[in-house]
Amino acid sequence: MHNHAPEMPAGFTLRAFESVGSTNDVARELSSDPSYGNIVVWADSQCEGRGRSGRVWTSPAGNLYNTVLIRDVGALAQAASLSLVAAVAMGEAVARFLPDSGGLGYKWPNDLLFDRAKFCGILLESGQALGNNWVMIGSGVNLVRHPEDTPYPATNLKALGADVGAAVLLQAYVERLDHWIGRWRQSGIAAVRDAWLSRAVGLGEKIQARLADGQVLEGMFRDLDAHGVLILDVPGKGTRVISAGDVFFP
Amino acid sequence: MAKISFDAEQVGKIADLMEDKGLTEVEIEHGDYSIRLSRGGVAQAVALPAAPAPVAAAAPAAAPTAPAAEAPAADNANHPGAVKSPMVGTAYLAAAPGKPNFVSVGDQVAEGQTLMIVEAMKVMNQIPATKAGTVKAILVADSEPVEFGQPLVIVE
Repeated sequence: MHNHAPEMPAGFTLRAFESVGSTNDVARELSSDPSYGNIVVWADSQCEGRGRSGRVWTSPAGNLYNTVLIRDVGALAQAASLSLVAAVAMGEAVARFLPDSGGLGYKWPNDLLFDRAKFCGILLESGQALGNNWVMIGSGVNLVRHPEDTPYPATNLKALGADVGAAVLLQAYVERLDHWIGRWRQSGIAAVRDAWLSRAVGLGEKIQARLADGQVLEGMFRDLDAHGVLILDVPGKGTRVISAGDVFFP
Repeated sequence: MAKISFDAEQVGKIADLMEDKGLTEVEIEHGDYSIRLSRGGVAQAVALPAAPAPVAAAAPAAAPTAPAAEAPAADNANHPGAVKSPMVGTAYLAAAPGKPNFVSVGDQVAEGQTLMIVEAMKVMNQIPATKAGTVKAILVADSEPVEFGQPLVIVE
């Protein structure tokens, strides 16, 4: 088990496990317990870690797997922008430990890349408990190893020169998350939009977006709209706004 | 077209044409008039004084067809058993590709039971039944884009 328990900000309760199915599933079970405020679930390994569209997130020991459940997030239409908040919080936490954070970037909406190789994935879910909406932010960070068989380049923080343990990174991340969620509660996505865009990968360049129905759109990544949705200029087809999809760099 | 006037009927026809042909944006210029219709989210309606109001109304009118609808689309929004989308996003009828659908027409559901997921920016929002009852209609297809407030399921 963990020798050094990370310190949590006020209002967050940490639950640590050696192995779980998925940290999101544990957080969901705990969500209806009124004795918890915001909940942080941390596991050394997961046997059912997953990403978007049910894709497997390989979760061997040594990397960081966690879910942060945030209560009372208000209307779900606005809560979607927590996706960008999470990326910025994790990005700032990781940047503290990288020898040079210049290669750090965000792939819409919230993958973390270094020189376009992915080292962190984030998946959020929303639900209702105790009369309010919650959002949980599940993230996996490749600290010491990464899968070799991904359809995109992957890397890990140790390979990038950041020798940081899971407990230390988790503490830094939740601290930044608490900070940015506080600002988000005051001013919404505007609070985090500039920080996200400052490290946006592919902004102003040609990208591909694969939609849920399999359609692939290729165009210029122009901007984020006021909700954080990706705006793509598709030659001959005009402007498309993409609220859900996988982004690729051709 | 010999003469173009941008009244509500004409704009409606253009919107229908866009839907039929799968077009996301149309721009027409004629004399002093120009009109641009786009659908799929950012409604950029640019029109000269001839008919600004119908243009704005036309873009959302290109609504998806309702595969399992029992009632006309216009009625579903006002249906007392309509469960509506709380956000713009993409609807999923199952937890993951290849998994069974959360519900089917005719199923009995309990209050709070998950009916589908709407994804917005990698946030998976489980859409719960707002009351117990029978699933009368599922109004969207899997992987289909949905708008804020769009009726998704009828539970009676």
